[in-house]
Amino acid sequence: MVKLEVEGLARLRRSLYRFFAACFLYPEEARLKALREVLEAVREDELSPFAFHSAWAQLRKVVGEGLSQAELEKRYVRLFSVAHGGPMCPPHESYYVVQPGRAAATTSVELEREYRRMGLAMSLETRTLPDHVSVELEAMAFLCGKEAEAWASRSLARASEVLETEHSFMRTHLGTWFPTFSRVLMRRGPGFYAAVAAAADAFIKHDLDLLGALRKEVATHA
Amino acid sequence: MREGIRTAILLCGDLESASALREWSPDDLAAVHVVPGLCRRMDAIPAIAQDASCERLVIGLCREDHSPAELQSQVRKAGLDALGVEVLSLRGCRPKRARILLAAAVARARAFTGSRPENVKLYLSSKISRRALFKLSLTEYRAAPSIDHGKCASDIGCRVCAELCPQGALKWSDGVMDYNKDICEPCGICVTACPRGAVINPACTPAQMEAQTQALLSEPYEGPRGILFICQRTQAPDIDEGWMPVKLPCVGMVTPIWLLAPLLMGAGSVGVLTCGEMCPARQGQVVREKVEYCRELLRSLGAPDDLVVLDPEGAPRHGRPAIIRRNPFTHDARADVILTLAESLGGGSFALEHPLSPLGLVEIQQDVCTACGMCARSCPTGALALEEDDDGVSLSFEAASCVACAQCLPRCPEGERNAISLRRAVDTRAVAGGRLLLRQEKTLRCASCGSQIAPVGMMRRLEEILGDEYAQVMPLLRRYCVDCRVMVGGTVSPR
Repeated sequence: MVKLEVEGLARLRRSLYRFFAACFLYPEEARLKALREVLEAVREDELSPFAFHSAWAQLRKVVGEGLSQAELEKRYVRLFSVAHGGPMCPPHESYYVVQPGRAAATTSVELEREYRRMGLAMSLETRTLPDHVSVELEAMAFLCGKEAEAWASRSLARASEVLETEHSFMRTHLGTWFPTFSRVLMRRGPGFYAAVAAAADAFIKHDLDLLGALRKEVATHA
Repeated sequence: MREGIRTAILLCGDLESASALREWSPDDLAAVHVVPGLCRRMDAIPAIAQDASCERLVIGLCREDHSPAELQSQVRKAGLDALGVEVLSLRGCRPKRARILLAAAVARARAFTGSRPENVKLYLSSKISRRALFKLSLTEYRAAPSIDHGKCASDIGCRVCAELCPQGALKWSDGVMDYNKDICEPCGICVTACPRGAVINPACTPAQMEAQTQALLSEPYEGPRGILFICQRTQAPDIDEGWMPVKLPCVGMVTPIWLLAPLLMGAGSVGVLTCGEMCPARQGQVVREKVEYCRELLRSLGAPDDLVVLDPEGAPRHGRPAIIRRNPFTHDARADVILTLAESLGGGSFALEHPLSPLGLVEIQQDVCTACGMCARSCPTGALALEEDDDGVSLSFEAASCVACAQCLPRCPEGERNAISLRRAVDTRAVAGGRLLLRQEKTLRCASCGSQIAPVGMMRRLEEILGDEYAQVMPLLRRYCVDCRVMVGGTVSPR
């Protein structure tokens, strides 16, 4: 059997959420360097027990083949910022969660409320919207951090509470629209962003399963 | 089977048959690697698989207590999809039989076409102790089904899979089939129940079934051979060596057609081994009834009914040469299997009515049916079809395509008056007879724009329902289409 130490697992998930959040931000030189370093630092043994390992390995292969920053910048702008008639793959939840009679701003308002409940607030310095993929991924990273702290303090009740928040956030936000977003992104051709989309999609789907299973375990022990 | 796929067969060196199999290979693209103590040290897998540049992996072990999670982890390190790896327990297996099982596992592995992130279901251990919780065990990943929404007929109201799911993991709502992986215990029942083959379990596809069964039946072996569908929770049974196992997530997914199909591929007998009381999907009785149905069908063909058996004990029967060409395990092969079987065993036509019949016969009452076409619009296989032309509409039925799913019955607006009925029956004459015209009805045309208003029968029925109170409205309803009339306060006038 593969032993999973729950605190370590929460920290690993936090790192991965942070990594993917950074992938969907503008590819500045320093950020790209940091991403490369993370990819190199993650050991094979750490991720091979998990089903999303193959998608991660593929991403590492793509990055290993070399990334041109100029090319990435061009691609980023084309995919996520400007193109004829808008970005090709808007990285915002409200674009994908279409409900009749529901304004796009509603999603952002709801998300801001969720973030406040988690103890977070949108920085006034950032121009990124609350429903941007990186912001949602960062929110999950934050929750995983909280979960790790709860496990470290051996507080089952606290861990259970954070797991519920994570699960609910995934079921109502990130987990609902990311698969569509990643599919749209992958259709735009191969390369770094397609590999990131595939790896993040596999990780997020896996995380939804993991959260479901963890919640069951915690409920059994509580 | 996909040809040209390099496959490595890794055998634990502690197996009695390992030395005899060292030099053997089912074909040029598969090679055997005997790994000393493989059951104890799975970490040897990545290096060997990478050296062999293989795309598929078959692993033969001597111990049943290996850790699936550890094995899957090592397979992933080798850059392979863990759900596509075939793992066999070959303890006590003689080389002759081991060759057949391995060749079949290679065929099944090669027919694997890859999984997607949604096809993976994670299992954690559930040892109830607080201390255990802080160090959970990842036991394994199993293949979970996914829905091909492009093929799924939920948009026309089909909910066959939801009706049969033992866990209630599939729910139909507003024309969409929702799948809840959290509560799904992948049993595969939805996979074989889907009339369109839209539910896919990548580790148990019809192509894999065909490849494995064909290999099990075609590899050299002296003596009679039978195909044994076996639940993956069940240990290898201690029965006659002629029974060749095909492992499934749950034998509840086996359909009567799956039970009969191997007989056309050369199997002497077909058996099912259930996991008995421990079946989480509680399929024991269902499987028993399916076997009973197949036996009844064989009897009506004049064939021995023990060609299909539950929990076999003796040896299988001698088989006949393979006669079926197309894959008999696919969702649309039902009629083909029945007709070929009838031809090969009985030679004549037969009819058998039974609640578990894989085929159905739709009948309509001419004087009640209004030819509205709702049944055809809800038919997931196209067995019922409505055609419209200048003269009117015609409703037709093809028995070979009807899977007796009964999705048409609740959609019929005249269902309470028995306008439509379904007989769950196999009738080879009807199946071979092609498409039959069930109902033809002229349609009324708009006096203003010429477009179709409705079939005459439908308008007649409307007249009956509205009664005398709306008698003055009817001539206008008959004369103008919905776009060319205006209805104000119970009266209708042309626009």
